[in-house]
Amino acid sequence: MDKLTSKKALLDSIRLSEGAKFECDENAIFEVYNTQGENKSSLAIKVLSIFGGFLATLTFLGFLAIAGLYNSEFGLLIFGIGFIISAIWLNKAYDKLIIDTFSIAIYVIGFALLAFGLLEMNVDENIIAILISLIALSSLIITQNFILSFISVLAISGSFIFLIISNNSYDLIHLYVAINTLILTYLFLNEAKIISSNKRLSQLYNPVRIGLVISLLFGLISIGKRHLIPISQSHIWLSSIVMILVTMYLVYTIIKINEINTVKSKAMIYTLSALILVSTIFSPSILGAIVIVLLSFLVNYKTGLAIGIISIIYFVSQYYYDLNFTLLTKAIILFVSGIMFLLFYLFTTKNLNTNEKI
Amino acid sequence: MKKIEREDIKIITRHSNWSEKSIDNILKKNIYSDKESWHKFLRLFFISLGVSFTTAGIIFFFAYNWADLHKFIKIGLIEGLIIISTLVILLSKISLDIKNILLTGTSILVGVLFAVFGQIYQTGANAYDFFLGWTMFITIWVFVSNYAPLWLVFITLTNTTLILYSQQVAHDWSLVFVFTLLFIINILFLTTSLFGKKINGKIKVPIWLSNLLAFASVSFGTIGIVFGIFYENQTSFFVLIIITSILYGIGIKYGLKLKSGFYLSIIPFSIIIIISAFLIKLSDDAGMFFFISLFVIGSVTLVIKNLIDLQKKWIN
Repeated sequence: MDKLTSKKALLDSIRLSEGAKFECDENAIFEVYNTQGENKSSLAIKVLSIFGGFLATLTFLGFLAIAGLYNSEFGLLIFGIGFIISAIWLNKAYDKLIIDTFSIAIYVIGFALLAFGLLEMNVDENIIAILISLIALSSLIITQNFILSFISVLAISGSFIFLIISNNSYDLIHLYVAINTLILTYLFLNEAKIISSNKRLSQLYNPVRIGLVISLLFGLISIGKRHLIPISQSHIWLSSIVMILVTMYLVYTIIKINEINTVKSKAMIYTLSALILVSTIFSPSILGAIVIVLLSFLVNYKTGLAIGIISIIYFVSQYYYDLNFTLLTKAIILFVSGIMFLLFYLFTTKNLNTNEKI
Repeated sequence: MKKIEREDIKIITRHSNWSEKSIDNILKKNIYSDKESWHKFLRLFFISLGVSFTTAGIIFFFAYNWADLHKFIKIGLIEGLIIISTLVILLSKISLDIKNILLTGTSILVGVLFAVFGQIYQTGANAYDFFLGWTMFITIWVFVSNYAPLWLVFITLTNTTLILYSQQVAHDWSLVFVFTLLFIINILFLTTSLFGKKINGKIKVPIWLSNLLAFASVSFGTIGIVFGIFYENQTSFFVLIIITSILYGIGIKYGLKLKSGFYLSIIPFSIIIIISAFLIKLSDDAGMFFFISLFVIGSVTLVIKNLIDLQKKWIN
């Protein structure tokens, strides 16, 4: 069947189930499908434009460094602002995939030039960071292009991390992780609400989602890898509390999806999950990776799932590598948790079979 | 309801007054993971975590200062574990997926066995022969099970063995030569994974594995050539260039035939990196860097434009 005809059938079936209240701009919808062919971005194209943009940025900054152009702070400032504005304007005016590489490059170069220029003018670092996050935020409001929005989200969270580190208030990273987790969870669990509320938000949904996943990952790495930033190890459980609450809520949601109704099974699942979660209380990064995996699987988001699984493997290995116990204790902890997971496996298999019998 | 995709829901939502509740329902029904996929996912998740944690626990147990144990007991214990799990795999009636996961765990245990052997007889834990032995002794399992993650272990081991061999024994191998070898080996794995299906219909290689192999090969090729450009110009460099250009040609052709954007983006990107490195070799003054940044933007844009055109053609 022709693509447009099948989409029309789709629309009709929605109309049927929605009843008379349902109104839609059919022409606009078909218009989107028609132009989609030339603007449909695959993951390959996105990754290519991001890497290309960054490579170009690096060589351009190399050019500036060698040519010594960074000496004129005023020039840096003008060019920086000019580049950022042209990147945003280009995307606003021509929302075409082809210009992505170019606009990413000038957007990132613009930020770099602006930051260098302001630094040369002895502007306080904190103000620069806040300024950059404000510019990134306003670009989110102006243009909803996928890649530019993705980079803006990263720029915003990058500025927050920079603020935390440059002010030596390292323990605030827990706040960063906690807030990031909560926003991410809200975003994943309220997809329908967000995409139906506003056209702009609906277009921002995908880039912000992947941007927040990566931002959360930044936070998790900075607490998961020891000595990367000097956070006090005795407060490391602060992030875990939020994570555990979120995970327990997810467990609750998953139980509902799986239609587990007997009190006994429920109690068993909650107890076992709580045991596993509490055993990782000193490693919020593992918990965070679990949150990413569960959320992504819940809404069937494959990229997030892959990122989550890879980060679980990484954080678990990092955790046991850093652990200050003797190898024997580590061995026992690992072995016990391994057996626990196997028990979980047996439990789910058994549960599945009884469900099938019913 | 016809098969609806997330993108469809988004597009229709933007141009209609579709209620939040119905969208939520349709997302839950058609897009989100249902009960069955949760069951499958949870089982795989728990068994993988269980097997890997248990194996890791055993590894750590043996790595622990265990001078008190007699060497006979040390090796015997691990061999016993390997035999038990192999017997379970051979004789029990658990599902194939689970058997494969167990076998992967057992393959890791073979590595532990070699490490312990190396520890007892002072051959060192990172000697290349240790990895060579490990690779050789799981080969049959890899072929019999034909399980993608186990293949990944096997291929990683092969690469590691080669790298360690070049560092520990073959001191006269140049860096470019090592990368040429790595490139060729991974290409061989890749071709087997792609064309194995034609020889034997049973061979099914998941796309992530072949893509990972392609990515590894292209990375090794690119790094080798970039090294060659900056440091040495010898036979292996020219061999690498010739092989790479032929294989890149084949890769592009294959990508076009398969309609895979993956091959059509990593190969051109590798070429762009190589050309940029070559340009820096020619001159490293400011003007050149400026030129390269323009070149990168221009060439990547060109590649993307071609990809989009191709996509359009493929859709129609």
